[in-house]
Amino acid sequence: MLPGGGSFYAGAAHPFVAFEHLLALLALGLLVGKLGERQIGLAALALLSGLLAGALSQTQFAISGSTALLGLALIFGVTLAAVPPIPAGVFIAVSALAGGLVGADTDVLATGDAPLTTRALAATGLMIGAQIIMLNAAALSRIMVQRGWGIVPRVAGSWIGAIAVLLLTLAVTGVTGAPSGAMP
Amino acid sequence: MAHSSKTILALTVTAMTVAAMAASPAAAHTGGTVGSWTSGFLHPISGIDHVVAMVAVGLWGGILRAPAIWVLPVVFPMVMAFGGALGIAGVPLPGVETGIAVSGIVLGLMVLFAVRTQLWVAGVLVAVFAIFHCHAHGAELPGSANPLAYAAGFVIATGLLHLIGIAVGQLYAMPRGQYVVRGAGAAIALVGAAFLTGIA
Repeated sequence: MLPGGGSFYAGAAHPFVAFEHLLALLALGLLVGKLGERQIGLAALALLSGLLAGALSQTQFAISGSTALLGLALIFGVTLAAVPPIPAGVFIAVSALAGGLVGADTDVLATGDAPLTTRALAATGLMIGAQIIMLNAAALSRIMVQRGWGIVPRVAGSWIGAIAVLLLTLAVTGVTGAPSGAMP
Repeated sequence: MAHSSKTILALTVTAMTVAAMAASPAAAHTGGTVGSWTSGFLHPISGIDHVVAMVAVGLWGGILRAPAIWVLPVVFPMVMAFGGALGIAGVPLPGVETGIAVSGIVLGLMVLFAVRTQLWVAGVLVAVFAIFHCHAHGAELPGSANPLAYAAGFVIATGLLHLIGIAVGQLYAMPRGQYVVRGAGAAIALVGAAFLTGIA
């Protein structure tokens, strides 16, 4: 929990300050923005479901999804850049997966002395924060595509994929360095 | 919208973006993430040899026009990341500085002589040079306080340099603009030669 912040704010801010989460959610939003409005809504619901499931999983055991989220960010980024035709159902499924990993990697419902209300507020904040990132990115992507600037999300996807490659290499090779992720 | 207006808009947006990104943020937290972001962002633009080559990629894309003008800045970051991964993993790449200098010469000449090649040829050439350029960036990534911020910084800075090149490359469509673009290519080649010969 962020010192000085309420549990709701801590949960809502977490996806913004945990860069692996931010990267994956931004890329997911840019991808989902290429879908129709109904499919975007379904993807948002899937993300929500995944977030809840992932957050609840913290009550049983801690899962580190940081590396997996970087992998997802890489896949999303490459998909964005390459623009292959992908069924909407796939987007919805990966939204749920991304949500699950974000929720599992966010220590909002871990076992401890915090009362249930605190954990519930944190989880609610997390779901709202993640949706804000995903839906805003989706909206921007959709606007860009509709105005003939479809190259912008593709370039952004390339950048996200490149960042993810570098950080995955760092994680996989185990090269000593400061831990990535949340701001100090 | 007239073509000249599009060019002006492209240049203005690019310049503002670069200025905004380069401006020191009034951040409450110093060091750590902000410091790493700044270090990463400044790394590609602190060396003129890096800068001219990245801009040349965009300029050449402007000469090659669609689809190269957009394929190159989409593909380049990913290939660049591969070179960076080699640097992170400590895989030695012989002649990195020479490769960077040669990239300036070759890409500058491509722009100067307005060489039009097939897309795959341009892509391979740019990809090879991208590996050299990013190997140096990647080698410093593990030592940063926040590797993700550092990586984001130098990837975005490199991308913005491409965008500047693309924006200027739009001038190639104009009769007099061709002289500007090709003149920039000549200057880039000279910079590359200066680094290769040790003058710079």
